[in-house]
Amino acid sequence: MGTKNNPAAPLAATVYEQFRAELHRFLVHRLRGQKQDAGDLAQEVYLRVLRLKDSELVQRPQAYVYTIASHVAYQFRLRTEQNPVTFDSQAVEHAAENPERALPDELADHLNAERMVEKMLKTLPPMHQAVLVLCKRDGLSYEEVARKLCISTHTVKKYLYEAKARITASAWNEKS
Amino acid sequence: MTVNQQANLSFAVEAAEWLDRLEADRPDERAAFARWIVASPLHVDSFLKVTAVDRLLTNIDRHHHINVDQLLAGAKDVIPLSNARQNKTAVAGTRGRLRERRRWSGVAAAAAAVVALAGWWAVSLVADTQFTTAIGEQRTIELADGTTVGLDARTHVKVQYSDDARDIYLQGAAIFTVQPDPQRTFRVHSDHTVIQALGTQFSVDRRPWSTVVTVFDGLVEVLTANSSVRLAAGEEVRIDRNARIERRTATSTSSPFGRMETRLVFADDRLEDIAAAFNRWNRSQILIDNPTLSARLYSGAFDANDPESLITFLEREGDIEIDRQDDIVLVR
Repeated sequence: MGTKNNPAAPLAATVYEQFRAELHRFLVHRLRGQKQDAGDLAQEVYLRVLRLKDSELVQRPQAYVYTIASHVAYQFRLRTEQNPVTFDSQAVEHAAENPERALPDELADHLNAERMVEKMLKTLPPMHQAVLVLCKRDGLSYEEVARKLCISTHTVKKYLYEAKARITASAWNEKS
Repeated sequence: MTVNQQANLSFAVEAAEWLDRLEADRPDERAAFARWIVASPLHVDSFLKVTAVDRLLTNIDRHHHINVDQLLAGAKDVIPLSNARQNKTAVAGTRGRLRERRRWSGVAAAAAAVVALAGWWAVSLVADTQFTTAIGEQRTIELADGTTVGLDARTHVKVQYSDDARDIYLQGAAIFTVQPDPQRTFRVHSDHTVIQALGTQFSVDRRPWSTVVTVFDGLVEVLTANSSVRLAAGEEVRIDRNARIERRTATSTSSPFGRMETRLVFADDRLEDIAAAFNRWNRSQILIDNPTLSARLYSGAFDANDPESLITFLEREGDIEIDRQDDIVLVR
């Protein structure tokens, strides 16, 4: 619990990744229903972030936000669930390649969410789709994408942010 | 798209940009991000959700069903301009033509995206103006139709005028002096409540738990999901989260327009609403970290610039613990 209560302590990459996994699992699970819970999480995280000293927060704001959020997500989950489970990206990969295997709930959630995101991606304007696919799937740099699409890197970024935002907003706004 | 959805979308764009900018791992970016994140719980919400989506996108289209060239070609077809250009270049040599086509496919694709986007954002582009005041700041604005809005501290209004309605979406508190226009209803949206007026003067105070509407002049109709009530000058109602409408003696001492007072008056109001009113006026923020306490009712008159008076008052209660950390006063 030491690290969770004191996010200023250096976080090993794996621990950091675990925090994000817990959080990810929570948010993705909420996509199936109870979307309100995600808002409650943010509210609670916000209150805890406000309690931090400014000097602490500016050091590693992103790590603080994820750490606190994961901790809150963990507490939320303890309230509602009996058996804690951890998210494992390798298991997700494996499950995606072997869909016939029975899936634990959190993997099913993740794969459903991936499918939902992909469906939403296809409703975006063509340029937004193209930018997102080139950046995320093909791993091209902004400069490479810009050259390929004959647009500025500034525009590449703009499309990328808008695409991600649009998917995020649709995912959480959609009536479940 | 509802106003909430629009707000979510613009916050999500900001969040996606931050996620990207933080990759550079620069101290100035981190500091700027820290300022952004403490500005609103909605920023936290968007940032967490965009992070989750970003992660979900890691394995996007792993079987390469999406063909980028086809996407761009499809985009090109919808732009007549580019087709015209292509016909013209058809007479050029093969190499020149290829080069030309490649160049134009980019331009056309970009143009197509703009067209598609225009449709996309059309809703948000409809004469949409927003005004915001900072902590402790009051400001008066005049809208296109001559209606004036006095914004109380830490207030955000979004103005949407269309042919048949004038809609204001409120966060915080404001006084409205409405220019009569029988053709276009004037409506203020506060949480789940709609306040409708013709020519009149009234104030709306949107609080965490409730909305308080006070009429100074004319007639106002307050609508909730299940009921409505008409208010005349001098009357006041409080509508709570459960859409319960309660008539009460006017507490809002806001004098006629433009001279809003810094005096906060409460009559059987929940502590969370009282704290929120003070928080609009002061950098130091009162947070109630106890649901029972949030719902406790208090009456009293305070100076908005003196949150200490409320804290002292609460300290006398005996069962309330006050914890101070810099600018945060934690009440539990």
